[in-house]
Amino acid sequence: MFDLETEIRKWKGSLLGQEVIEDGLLAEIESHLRDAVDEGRSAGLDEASAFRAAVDRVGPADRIASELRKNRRLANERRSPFRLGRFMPALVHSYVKSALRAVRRGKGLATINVAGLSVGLAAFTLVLLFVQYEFRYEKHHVNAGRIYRLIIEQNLGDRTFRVWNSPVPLAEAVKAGLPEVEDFARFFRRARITVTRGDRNFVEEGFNLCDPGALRMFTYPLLKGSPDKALAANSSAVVTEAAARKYFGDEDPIGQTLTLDFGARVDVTVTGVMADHPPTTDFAPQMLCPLGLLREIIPNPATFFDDWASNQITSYVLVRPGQDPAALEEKIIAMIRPRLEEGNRKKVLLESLATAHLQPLYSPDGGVGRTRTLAIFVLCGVLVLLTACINFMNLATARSASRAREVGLRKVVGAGRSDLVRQFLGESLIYAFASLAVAIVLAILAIPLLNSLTGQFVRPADLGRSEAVLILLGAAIVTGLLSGSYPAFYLSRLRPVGVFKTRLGDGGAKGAPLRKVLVLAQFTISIILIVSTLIFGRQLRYVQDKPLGFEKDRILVLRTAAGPVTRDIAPLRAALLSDPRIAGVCGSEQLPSSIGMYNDVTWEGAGPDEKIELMFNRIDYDFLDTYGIRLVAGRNFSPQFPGDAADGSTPQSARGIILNEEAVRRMGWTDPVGRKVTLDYGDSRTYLTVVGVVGDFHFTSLHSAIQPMNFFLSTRINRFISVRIGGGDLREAVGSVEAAWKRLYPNLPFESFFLDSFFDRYYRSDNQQRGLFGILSLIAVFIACLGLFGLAAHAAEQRTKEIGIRKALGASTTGIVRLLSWELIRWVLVANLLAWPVAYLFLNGWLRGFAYRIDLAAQWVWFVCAAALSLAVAWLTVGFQAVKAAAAKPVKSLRYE
Amino acid sequence: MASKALIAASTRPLILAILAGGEDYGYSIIRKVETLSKGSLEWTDGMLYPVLQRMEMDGLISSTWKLADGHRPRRYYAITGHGRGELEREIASWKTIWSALARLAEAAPAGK
Repeated sequence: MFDLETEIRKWKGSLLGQEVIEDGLLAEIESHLRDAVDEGRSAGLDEASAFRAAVDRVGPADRIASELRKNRRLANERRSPFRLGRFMPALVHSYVKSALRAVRRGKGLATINVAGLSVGLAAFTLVLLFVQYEFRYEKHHVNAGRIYRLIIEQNLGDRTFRVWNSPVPLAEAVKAGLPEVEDFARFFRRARITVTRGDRNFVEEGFNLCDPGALRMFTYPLLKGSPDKALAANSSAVVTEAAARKYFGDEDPIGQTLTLDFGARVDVTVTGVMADHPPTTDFAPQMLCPLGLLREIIPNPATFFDDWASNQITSYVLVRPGQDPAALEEKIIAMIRPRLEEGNRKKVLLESLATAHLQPLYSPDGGVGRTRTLAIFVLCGVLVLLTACINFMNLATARSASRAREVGLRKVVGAGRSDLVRQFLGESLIYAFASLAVAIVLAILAIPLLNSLTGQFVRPADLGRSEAVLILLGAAIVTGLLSGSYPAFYLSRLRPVGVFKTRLGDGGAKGAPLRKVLVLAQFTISIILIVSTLIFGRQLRYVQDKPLGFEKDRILVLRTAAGPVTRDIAPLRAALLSDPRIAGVCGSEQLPSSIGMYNDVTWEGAGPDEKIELMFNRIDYDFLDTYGIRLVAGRNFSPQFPGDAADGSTPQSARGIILNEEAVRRMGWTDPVGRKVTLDYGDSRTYLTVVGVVGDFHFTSLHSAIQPMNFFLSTRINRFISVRIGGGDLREAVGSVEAAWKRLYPNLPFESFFLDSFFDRYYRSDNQQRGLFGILSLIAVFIACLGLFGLAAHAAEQRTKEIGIRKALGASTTGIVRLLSWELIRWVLVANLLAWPVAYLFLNGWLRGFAYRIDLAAQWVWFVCAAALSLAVAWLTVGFQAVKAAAAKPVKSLRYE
Repeated sequence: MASKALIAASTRPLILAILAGGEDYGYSIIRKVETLSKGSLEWTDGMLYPVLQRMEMDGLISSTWKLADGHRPRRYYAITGHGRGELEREIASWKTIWSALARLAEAAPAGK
């Protein structure tokens, strides 16, 4: 009997044999078959015939299947490979848990990691603060990017030099003639004027006469008074808050009168009070008066205001946005050319206020800009951070054994390599951010130290500046990725089979050579820093202790602003010398440590047009004795020789001068005394005759070589009075000097300082560098030792069994200590060999900045010192662990595990 | 009776053309082809399904299961936008070939 459903089921069974015919398709074909059967039935066939006809129509299963297989192959080729989602949130919990477990199991190493990274990041943060502070200079001026100082570049003989003063009419003419220039302001600085209020006298250091434009261009916020009107009247004055407090205490300064004395006496009324300047500025005027005030004081103002020949005033211009300063320079030069004499190649340069601090076009002590110093420190900060990262890598790979099984298991249950890389990088990022938090606390604690070293005024709030935040976050991320990179890629490479089969007790022996290279790198960096610190110290000691050619110790300098004492110090000298503690008193125009003025002179026997620059100082009869400057030929100035003070207008009335040895050398004389020198200034010629020669002495920092110089005699230009204090207590002597001064000049302010402190400022930035280097190298050594400590501990632990067997077989404790420490110590030795040449090259470059410097090769002992220091510290770190491991009883170590 | 090669070449455009008139299921598509070609195109019914599967893979058609006539489940196919584009291109090619062939046949009547 034919049963349709049974037959259809049988037929389906034959199709099911083809696995490629999936359920859906089978159902579809079945429904097709049933349609065909229905159609056959309605055409009049019996059920069996209709079924057979339908099966015929559908065709053989194997042909359908072979077509379907073609489709499947095609689909397989087209399909993109199967991937899991990139991030599985469900696993985060497990990642955090395994990271915490790893921390818990190795608390010591985790502490070392965080400590190292924190200290490294703290050092980096301090460097960042230091650099950021330098970059903030003048940025408080809203227009800093558009304000330019006009620098004049002149040629004199074969020498080009720049001055930061320019002709008085220049800025005004530039503003009137060039539409690119929006505004201008000139500052005429009078150093150290006397300010009188009532019966009290003050010395004002920051007095400037300026154009009213100054208050518009520069950001000098007025707390009282209006920027437009404050400097409108000629006899008005704007003072800073600090100056106002100094003069008026708590009284309202507005409307008060002050009497100024800068050559002439004039009364001014305070019309405005400006906020105190931030410390990040190189130009901080304390009192501003209108330049117009000069018109009322000087007898013939036109000679000052229309003088194109001399550079007397500091000029700033405010340039409209989007102008090219180089093009503007050309236009200004073209503008002033007609006003200059034929052949004058004077140039005008624009010095941007925004970059003037770091890249000055003119720097008074001829020093290099600070950019190089900053670059060195950034480099050091990064290197220190790098050593911290190396620690992390080393310790993480060393500990890979304990993580290897975890890696194996994760891989077995389907983690891809990239999942593991992400997991480990995530862990190191967490470490980095935790360390950053600690680092910021450390850095904030260290800010006072930084400030005392650098003389900066960094505040903790400076860390909140957006650029600092971004850089620190960036540093943390880079640190995390960098220090996590090697462990991540190393660990994720482990094969599960290998991990489970062998015990992997060697602690990732594959990573060992790399670990040693990394230790090598750390110690190389540390040793370079140590050697640099030591040599810096030697050089600075050398510079500061080098005999200067005069006595700078126990000399008290009195500054004289005005009054009769500048023209005659005899009464003061008599009063002071009556005190037995005072060994000498002299007056001079400049201090021996800061002679800065010069004349161009020619001399007997010089070739045509041969000239040299001769620095000069005007001194009285007692100067050489007071300063202990040695005469090598001829005589000192003396009242017995009236010619010493002659005017030198004719060869017969030649004026006496004393040269230094360098000048004599340059002039090529062997018997200098009695020789002639002539000095041309403008149209007038001065005749000079050499009466004596002094031994060379250093009158600027030892960065520069001794220049030729001469002394003139003058007893009437006593800008400085130097008092040599003999024996006894310095403070008492100063008190006695002050008392004498007050007695003689009750109305003049008493201002004094010790010459050596003045001399020290030449080396301030060098001392800063040394201090920072010292700290950075300490930190680098600390971090490197931390790492070494961790590695030694790890090695000792790994070799517990080996040590036990060695001891059981009769090895001595010392032998084992030697074995364990030598493994790591030898890399420190190699690091020394690598570090020396690098440090030598770096220091050689640094020393070239000093005209007088130590011989680096002769300082080999300090290189050895650094080596000994690094070895000692390394040995102490490693030795502690080694002794601990070696002293353990073999029974215990063999039972370990 | 069309040649095997011609049948193979014409299958896809025919299916697309039928589906362009509305969604349809396998059995019905076969019947329509037979009726329209007056029996000169005879397909083995089962071979239609691999073709439909392939066309679906290529994104020319899409399919959904529906209960037709209230009792038998059927998979209905519908033409996609991509399929319509394909159909237009096919028709254009067929027309080109046809017109070329027709002109040639006029110039040299074959066989007589």
